[in-house]
Amino acid sequence: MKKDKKDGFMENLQLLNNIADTYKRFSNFDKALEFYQKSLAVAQNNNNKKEIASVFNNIGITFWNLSKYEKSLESHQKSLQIFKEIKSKKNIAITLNNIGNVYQSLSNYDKSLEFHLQSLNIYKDINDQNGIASSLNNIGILYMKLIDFENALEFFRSSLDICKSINNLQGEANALNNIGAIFYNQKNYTKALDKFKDSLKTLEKTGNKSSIAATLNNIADVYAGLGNNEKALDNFQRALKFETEINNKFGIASCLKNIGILLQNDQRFPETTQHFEKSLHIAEEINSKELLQEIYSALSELNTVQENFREALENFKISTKIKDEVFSEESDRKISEMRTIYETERKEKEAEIYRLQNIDLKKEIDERIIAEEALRISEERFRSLFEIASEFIIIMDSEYRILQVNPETIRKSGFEKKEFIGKKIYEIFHAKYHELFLKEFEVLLKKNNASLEAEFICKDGSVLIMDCSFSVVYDKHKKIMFVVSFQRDITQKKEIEKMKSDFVSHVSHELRSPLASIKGFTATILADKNMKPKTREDFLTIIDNESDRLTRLIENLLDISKIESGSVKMEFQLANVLEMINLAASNIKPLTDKKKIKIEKNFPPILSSVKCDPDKIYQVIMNLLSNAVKFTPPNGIIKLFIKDKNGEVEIQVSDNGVGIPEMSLDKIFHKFYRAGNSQDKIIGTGLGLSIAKEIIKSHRGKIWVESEKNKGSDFYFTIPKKRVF
Amino acid sequence: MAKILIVDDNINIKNLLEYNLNKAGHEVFTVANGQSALDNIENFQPELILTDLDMPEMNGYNLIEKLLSDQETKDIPIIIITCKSQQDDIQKGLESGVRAYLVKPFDPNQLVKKIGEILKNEKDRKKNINHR
Repeated sequence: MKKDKKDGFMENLQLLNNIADTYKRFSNFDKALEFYQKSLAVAQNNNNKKEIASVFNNIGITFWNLSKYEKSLESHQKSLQIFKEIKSKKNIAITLNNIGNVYQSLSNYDKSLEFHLQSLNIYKDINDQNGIASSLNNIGILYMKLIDFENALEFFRSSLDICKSINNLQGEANALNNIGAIFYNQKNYTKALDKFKDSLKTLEKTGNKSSIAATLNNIADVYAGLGNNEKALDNFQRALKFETEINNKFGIASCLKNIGILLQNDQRFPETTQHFEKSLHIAEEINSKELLQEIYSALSELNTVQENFREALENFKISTKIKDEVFSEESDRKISEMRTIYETERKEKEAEIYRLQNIDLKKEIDERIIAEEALRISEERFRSLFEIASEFIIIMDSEYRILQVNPETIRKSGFEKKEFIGKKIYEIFHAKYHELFLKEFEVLLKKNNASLEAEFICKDGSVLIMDCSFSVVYDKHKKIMFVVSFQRDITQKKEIEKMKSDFVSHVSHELRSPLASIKGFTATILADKNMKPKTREDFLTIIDNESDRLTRLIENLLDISKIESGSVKMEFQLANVLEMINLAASNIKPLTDKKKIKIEKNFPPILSSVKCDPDKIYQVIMNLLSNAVKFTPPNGIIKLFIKDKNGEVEIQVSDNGVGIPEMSLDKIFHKFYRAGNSQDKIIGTGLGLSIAKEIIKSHRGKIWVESEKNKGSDFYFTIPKKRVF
Repeated sequence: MAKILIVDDNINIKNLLEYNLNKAGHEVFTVANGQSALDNIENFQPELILTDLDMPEMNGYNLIEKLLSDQETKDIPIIIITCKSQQDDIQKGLESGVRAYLVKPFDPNQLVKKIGEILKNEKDRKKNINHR
């Protein structure tokens, strides 16, 4: 019958474990380890976690027996981890117990106690009385090592009680044995003997020869302590018998040595030598240096007693040498262990310090990089600001002497840099502002900032109205480092403001003028009940005309308002400019006749049609014509030209009137601008040319003026023949 | 009844003032600008002057300045009648030494009353001077 695969695996595993256990029992730990490793490989191949953990546990115990505590701990930890994974509480407790034992061997009693207590808690948790008893026993041993016999005794007794209650004979015997050991240590040999004997009785029920042998050894030691050589010898020999039965070579060698010592005490020297030699032989076989050293030491004493001093010295030397070796090995082992622990901890600490340092360093580097980058950006920004600012930036010392000016100040003012440096800031402004500057500087020192408007005189004499602000920059000692001034050219803004203000004033004036007539004549008619009908009619006609004038003015204002808001719609169609100009000339005739102004036409015989909004183009022509009439003195001449150019038609309206001052030429098409001196009472809104400009602009044409004061003006505009988008 | 000089380039306003002042019994003389006013003042010998400010050739301010600086004319009461309604304009006008500043549009009947008051005050002032 074919065996199940799983069964086969378990069988193999069991077999390997049994072999290993046997080797371990006979203290052949290297071989035991070899078979446990094989067992581990089988368990790992089958991924049986419980078995893997169990084998790790056995490997750990074996390493412990080999005094390889680091490896033992490593194996137990692996075991513990797996048992935790599979949540096997009992095995966790066993493993914790084993780890506690390893730490005990490492003389790290705190750690040992910690693991034993953890183990005890888990045993209590799962109510495993055997486990509890075992843990209590182990903790007792720990206290015994710490020479805290009182506590040790308490734990052993607790363990004993539990073992008795559950009939755990081995546990009971162990507890009794340990209690006996305490009394032995306290040199209370009688009590010690009682407990060892009780333990022996219990063990005899179990048949555990190894433990029986150990207890007989203990009893023998007590008798030796009591000076009862005979009984001591008897018990050692009984122990030897059990050790021999279980082939515990260490035990055998140890018993033989002890028997030899007792025989020596009885001066049975040949037997003594015989026992020592047998013991030595076995000790050499198992290479137990501890035993070897003790045997050589005993031999040296024997030689001394026999006055064989040369051999005594030789054996003493060997004993000492072995002792030194053991000590050295022990020291090396301890040093190695300590070094291992130290190195591990050091590496961990170094890694942590390095990690923290790295974090700190990286943080510091990052912060520095960020700070440097921020500073660089800040400097770059400031430099850029200083270099490309469209404002004047002037840096002064605490006495308001100029230290630095930005390129815009130089470009706009026309002065060279050296012409600024060292001057007091107010010296570059019109003298009438000096006092204002000094007043504002007082404010500046109190409030840390100040501002004023002042006229800056450029090198070419032109005037710029500057909005100047001042700030003081202090150092950390609250001392003035420098004063910085940002100055914005508000000349244009001021002009626009003035234009708007003038426009409002002008519109108000123009509206009030017809209103004055309307209101005045209406009030007169109402007040005069006996007014002649003819007079009344004349007055009503004036009211009517002035109402029309008022309407036109309002329409004009609405036009500019629409143009400004972009809501004017052009009605494009093919039209003849010639007809429009003739119509305009005809309509303006009453005014020209009144001033005896002659209109001269210079038109081509044939003119191409243009795509335009005829009403709007007529409006432009009428505006230019009426302006010409307004500014042309009586008996003057207005000339009209039309030129059929390639792709466009050019219209020119020229007069020989007052002309336009040169400074006004570039502003004449601005909204609200009125050229010439205000004493000239020319009725208008100041909007006509700006309306004309907007209309021509929406036809994609051009409009401009050429003029010389007192010689007249030439206004031109063009309209593309085809509509341009 | 008094002799009143009207200085304004707006023919409608000139006519309106002339009609109402004539009706109130005053003798009215009209000119279109400051220069014409100065040219005719000696000839007309007005007891009160009504003047606009914005006028060609010589504006109202220049006219007022000349009238007030001339011993012969400095005591003639002057009333400004103008479209200039801004606070700055009114202040400037009143500071020039005129008796009243009237912003267009205005009620001619109220103006006639105002002129009556000024002329009466002027007469009383002259009486007081004579009594002293």
